[in-house]
Amino acid sequence: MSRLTPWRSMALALGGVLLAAALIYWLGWWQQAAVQVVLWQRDLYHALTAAITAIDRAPGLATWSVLLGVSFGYGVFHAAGPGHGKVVLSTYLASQGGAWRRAIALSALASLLQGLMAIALVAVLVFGLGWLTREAMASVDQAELASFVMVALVGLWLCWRSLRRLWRWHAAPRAAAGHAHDHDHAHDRSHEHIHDHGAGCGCGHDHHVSPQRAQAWGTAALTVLSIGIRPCSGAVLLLGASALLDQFGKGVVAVLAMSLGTALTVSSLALASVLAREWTQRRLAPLSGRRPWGAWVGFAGGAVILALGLSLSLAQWQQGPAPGAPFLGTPGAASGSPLLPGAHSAS
Amino acid sequence: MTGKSHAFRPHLARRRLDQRLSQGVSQRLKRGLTRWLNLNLALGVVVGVCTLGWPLLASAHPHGWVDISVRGEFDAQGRLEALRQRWRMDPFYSQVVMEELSNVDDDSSMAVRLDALGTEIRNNLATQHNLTWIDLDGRELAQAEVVDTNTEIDGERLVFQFVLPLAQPVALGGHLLRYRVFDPTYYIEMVHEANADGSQPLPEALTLSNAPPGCTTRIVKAKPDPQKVMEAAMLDKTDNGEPNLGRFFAETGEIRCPG
Repeated sequence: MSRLTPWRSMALALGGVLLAAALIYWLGWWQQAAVQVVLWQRDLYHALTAAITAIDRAPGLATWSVLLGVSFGYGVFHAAGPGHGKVVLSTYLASQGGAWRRAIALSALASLLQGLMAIALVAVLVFGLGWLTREAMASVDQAELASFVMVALVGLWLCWRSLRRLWRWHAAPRAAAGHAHDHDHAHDRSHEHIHDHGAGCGCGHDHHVSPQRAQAWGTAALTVLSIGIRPCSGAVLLLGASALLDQFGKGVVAVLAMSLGTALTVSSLALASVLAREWTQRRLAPLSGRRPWGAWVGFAGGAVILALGLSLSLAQWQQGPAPGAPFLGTPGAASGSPLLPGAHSAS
Repeated sequence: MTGKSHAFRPHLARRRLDQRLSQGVSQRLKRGLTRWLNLNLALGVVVGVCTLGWPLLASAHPHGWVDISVRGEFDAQGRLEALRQRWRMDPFYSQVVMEELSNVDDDSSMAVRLDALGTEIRNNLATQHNLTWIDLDGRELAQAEVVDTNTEIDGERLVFQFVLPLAQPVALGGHLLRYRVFDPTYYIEMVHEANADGSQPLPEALTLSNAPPGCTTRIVKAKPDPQKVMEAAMLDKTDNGEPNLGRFFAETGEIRCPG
């Protein structure tokens, strides 16, 4: 038999991927790319500042398109740097299932929400409550902590769901087995048959699983929220500064264009993780038999997300406020300076 | 929803049937092993991605910049005694700081507020090596306290000027003096004043006053070594737990005098 067995091709593919990754790292391409992204981001930030001021001087198609292009590019590269949002989303998609349409929708929503959060933060805190922009920027720390805690909650919920699935499977293995068997026959006859649950999942006995579906969307929404609730402090600075320059509208447009750029990068990554999962599932389908390995993978993914959320929350808790510019104290901190009177920030 | 991945595939179905018929101990073992491997590999990849990329997060790219210019000041004996620096904060950051100044809740004049801000900046810098590192032929030179600070608004930019004296004046004859000005966390990028596209530093970015004849200056662009940047991102942390990356992206100013 020249055909590869599924587990062999699986191991080959994974080995290949790891080998390629090791090679890329060893050759220094990964490092080079990471540094290049930082440099591009720096250049784009300069260009962004220039673009906002240029529009002020000569509003027109040219200056507007520069602003949009630069903001979009900034978003693309800003998301290209590693961040917990991408790790959470790709782990979630790789372990919990979901078609590519959902992957793109979740990524786009999370990115857009991040931009909207920045706009809302400045609108409410600066315009509404009269905070200083620098204080609003410091409040990103709190939003970040909230985001990390929510990530941990998502992980916990995913673990719990997978455990329940496993428990159900163990409680009624026979029924599930018979069910799966019948399914295979159905497959043989009907080419159009569509599952509504994960591979080897011994749970959904009926196909009209609207409560489960609602639950899945609930989890997806929580995932999106946990990522999107934390605005980028750069976006807050941009909005605050453009508001001070009487250019708030332009700042909003720039931030939205940035979100689109971020969405592009994040959804590419999400798509990649969905494709990887589908490929794995196809390879392992013949092996999966009636064991609920999908639930185990789901549990592992949930555990990774939970661990990430917990460790990030803890680190954030211990670390306190992130550093700002080295020459200025933290706004609202007890620096004793008469120049930093605002004590709105809770940190 | 996952229908696509479960589409009917005859060869898979046949193989599945084969397997079910010949499901011996070895098959079970293989299957268990595969599952275990798969799980661990997936976990490994995810954890690997986190540990490789995580430290570069968030503050690894600058959120603002400062255009600097430096003047090397020599004393009557022709020794370098101080670096006078002029820092021009970027337009956005300037706006945000000026907002703070105009929001101070008393009737002090703007000049007084700017002075107070200058004092605050000086005090903050004093705890951070004044963000300046100076060496003579590779040996680090000690700094005295910053004097002569001045803060002003120049158009849309906030400008901070100060004099950073050396602990002891040094004779540069036959030596190479180098300095680097940078924010270790790279939250703020510090660059010498340059032309419009930032490719070439301007001549006035590094000047000398009262220098002995024949002294030359040069500004060397940063050439970050990706390998070292990555290592630093993973291991080298500041007190705040931020990666210590600023030095890799810092320019070097050089002053050379004939011996």
